[in-house]
Amino acid sequence: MSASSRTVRVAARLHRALLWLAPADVRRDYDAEMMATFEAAAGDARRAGPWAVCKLLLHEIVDLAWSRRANRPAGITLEPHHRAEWIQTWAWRQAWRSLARRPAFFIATVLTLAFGAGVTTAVFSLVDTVLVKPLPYPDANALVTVYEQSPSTRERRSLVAPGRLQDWHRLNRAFVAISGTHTESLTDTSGQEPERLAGVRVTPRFFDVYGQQPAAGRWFTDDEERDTGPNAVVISERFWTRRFNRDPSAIGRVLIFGGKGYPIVGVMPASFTPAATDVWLPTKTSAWLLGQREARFLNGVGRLKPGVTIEQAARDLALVQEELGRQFPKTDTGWSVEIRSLKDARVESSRRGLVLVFASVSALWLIAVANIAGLTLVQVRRRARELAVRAALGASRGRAIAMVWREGLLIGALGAALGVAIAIGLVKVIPTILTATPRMNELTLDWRALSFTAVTTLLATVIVSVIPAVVGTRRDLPQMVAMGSRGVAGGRHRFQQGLVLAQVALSVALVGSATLLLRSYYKLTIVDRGFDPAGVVTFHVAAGWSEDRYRVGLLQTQLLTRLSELPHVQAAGLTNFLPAPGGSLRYSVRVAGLTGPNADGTMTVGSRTVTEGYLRTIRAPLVAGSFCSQFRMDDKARTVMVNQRFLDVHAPNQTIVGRVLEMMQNGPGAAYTITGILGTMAEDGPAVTPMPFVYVCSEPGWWPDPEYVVRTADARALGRDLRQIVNGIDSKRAIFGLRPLTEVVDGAFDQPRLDAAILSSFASAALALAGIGLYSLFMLVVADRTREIAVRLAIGASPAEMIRLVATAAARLLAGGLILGVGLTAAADRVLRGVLFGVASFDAGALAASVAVIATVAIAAVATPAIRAARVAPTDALRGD
Amino acid sequence: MAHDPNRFLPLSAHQFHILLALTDADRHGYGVIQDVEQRTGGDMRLGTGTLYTAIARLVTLGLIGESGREDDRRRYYRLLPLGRAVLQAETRRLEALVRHAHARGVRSSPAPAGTRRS
Repeated sequence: MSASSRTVRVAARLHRALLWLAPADVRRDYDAEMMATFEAAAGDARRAGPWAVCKLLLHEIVDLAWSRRANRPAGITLEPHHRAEWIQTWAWRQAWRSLARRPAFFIATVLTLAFGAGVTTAVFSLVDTVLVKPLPYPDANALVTVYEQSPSTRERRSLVAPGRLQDWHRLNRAFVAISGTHTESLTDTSGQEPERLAGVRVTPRFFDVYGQQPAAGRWFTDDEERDTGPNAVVISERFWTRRFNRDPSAIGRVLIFGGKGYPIVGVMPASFTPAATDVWLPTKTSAWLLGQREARFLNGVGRLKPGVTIEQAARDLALVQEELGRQFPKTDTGWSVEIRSLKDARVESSRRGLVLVFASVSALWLIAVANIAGLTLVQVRRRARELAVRAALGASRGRAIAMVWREGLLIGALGAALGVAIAIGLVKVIPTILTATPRMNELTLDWRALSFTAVTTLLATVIVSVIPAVVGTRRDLPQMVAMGSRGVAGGRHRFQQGLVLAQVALSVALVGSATLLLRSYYKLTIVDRGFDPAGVVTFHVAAGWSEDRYRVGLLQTQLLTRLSELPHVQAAGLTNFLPAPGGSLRYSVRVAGLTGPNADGTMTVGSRTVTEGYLRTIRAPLVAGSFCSQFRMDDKARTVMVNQRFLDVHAPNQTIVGRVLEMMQNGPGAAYTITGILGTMAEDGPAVTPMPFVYVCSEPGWWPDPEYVVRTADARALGRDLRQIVNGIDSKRAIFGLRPLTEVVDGAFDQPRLDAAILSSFASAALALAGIGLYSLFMLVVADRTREIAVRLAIGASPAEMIRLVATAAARLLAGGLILGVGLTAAADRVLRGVLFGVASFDAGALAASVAVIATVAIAAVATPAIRAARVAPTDALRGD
Repeated sequence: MAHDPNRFLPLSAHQFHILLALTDADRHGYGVIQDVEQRTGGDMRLGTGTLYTAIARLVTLGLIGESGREDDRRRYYRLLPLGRAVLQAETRRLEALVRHAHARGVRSSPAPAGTRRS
């Protein structure tokens, strides 16, 4: 099928859709014929190319639109209903023409409305999807997260031990079911290349909690969930699509993890998991592990019984835990529970940001609409004379109002239509920008969003059409114009003045905040992290917690040794967490001879488990003592290092190298020797004040899936060599996550960069709006005071004085706006303080910069009205209105 | 006097051209569009909206009638005797107007400068 015949089909369909424009009686008798005729004409036009078809269609649309008016047979009296119809059409056409005569105004207003409606609708959708709508599960409001809490050690939220989770489920009265999960990386070796999969291990009843039916197949049977039962795996719709191309026969096929076969029994729908989960497996917790009440590694999730509130459930479970404390005094006393709604847990982090964005967008949009009303008012006032003449000739005020509001309605309708198109586009783009925001897979433009658009554009249309119509056509307008005004503050433009004041204030606040964020972002990028990420590559080699530690240790040792032998590699090592946000393990430690601030004399520290090679690879600075002892399989002397911050906080002016440090979590007797002090590194990202850290020198295989780091002169060669080396050791191991370390640590800049970009675009929009507002206000002022200005000029005032007249009024308004704006900035302070880094939230430099920017915009906006004032001819004073 | 052709005057330009297109042959809608466009050198291009609004009215007034169908969607139209009479009457009216204008020295060339007053 050629492109042009498709054009004809599309054109024919559009033509059919537009037939309603023709008069109803004609349509009734001739619609099929009209379509046939158009198709014939389009078929002929097609020979001249698709453009000719488009031209024909345009011609048709215009023709259909005016066909009610055409063929008005002169000489034959129109029947009354035809006449009314004709007058209506004529009036609309006049409004259209009147707008077309002022293309700059027309286009500017329609585009402003379209962008306003589009952006607000998209952001509304975003807020509605993330914060308002229930999660996509059956009766999702009954879902809660369940965690442990230890008031005594100030641990607000801890993962749950499997035995305790089971007890909770068994003993509570408030829950339908309680279950738990933990993530696990798996390597599937059923395909040609080993593939690393994102897995989630689930305890029994996981399915009962969510109540979600599989998209295909089934969930695990009780047998499959028992620790000695048969293997089974449930896959995600994404994985099903990626690997099996949605083939229903995928159910029954076998994935291979750790050399064991796992038959696929079910597929979960894409909406089920917010994360990029590939597979679900039962935890198959052994009786031994159930007895380990200190082994906390499960994310608890539960479904409340109908009618039970979160508070009631929390009280119920707290009682259960108290009872457990009596049963297991050694492990369970001092622990309590923390229950939150699952939705809150998922979306809490984005709530403040989203609400802020929505509020700003709505405020900007309202102001934009009010501005368009202001501009329309200027247009109406310019035509005051025309309106006055019409009134003198007997046109009623109703006519004049109708004339003005018809124009407003046209602008509103066009703006709304374009706005919906913009919103559709934005909703597609937003998830690719806000990658860190939850529930982006659920974002669509639904009827709620569209009804929001309908309400807002209706509001907008009323504002842009009715206010100018009513204000601009006041009966006393001619007299008012003739009398001249008593000045800007005379109450004549109070609505607009207030508006402009608000706009200037908002601009100050937004420009000021954006400047702060930009400076904060810049300062973040130049922070000294204390190590050197440039030239370092990081990757993973798949290995699981269930594997034999000795084997994994062997793999790690061999791999690091072989890598270090490569000519382009300077150093290689591994760590459990890279120095970037997200790896915040917190431990209590005790150091011989020191008393920490915790009640039991311990101190809370961050922790990394590393090898010496890792410290050398990232060029960690050695302040005192020596690096950990060499990473060796037979090394049993356990050593740690601490950072300078640890020394500054807990042991100022002391020598602690050589002392013994106890890791409280690893049970009594987990003692390490401190071998040295490292310079403080930005372990939790550049924005966070570094805390005391302990670097535990790793035993091989202790952490099966660590971050490998390699300092290399040739990253590309490394990728190749790495595959070869790993194949040489164990060809069933997947390599994944290969990327430069800079990319990982610079990930900390993504959010600040996004914040700064979003706020900057708001600030630009606010500035543009304030400019338009100032312009339209002073155009009005000058137009209304033309007579006064002319008289003044006639009696000897200079044009420069007239400019000063306008400038003084503008300056007064600007000053008011600035003062308000500074107040607003101070109010925004509380919101901003949390995201700013390295700059005070009330920063004189940023404020001065934003004032300068706004003053520049104001001068540009007021220039035209001021010049117009200076150019008033003295003879204008004589001209009557 | 339903049959007095002068009662239908003046005709709109569209109606005039549609009647004119049917003087030498019966045509369907697209035929009329093509004939008018060719005859006027592209100055008048009828769209389906104006065409069928006019046709509907001309049929109602009894100036033209349906003469057959090309297929189940497209009808042919022919000029009825009353239509021909109206066309003649309109032509006569226009000729008279032109004559009056010429008698006063008004031609289709532009008027000399300075004669126009606001």
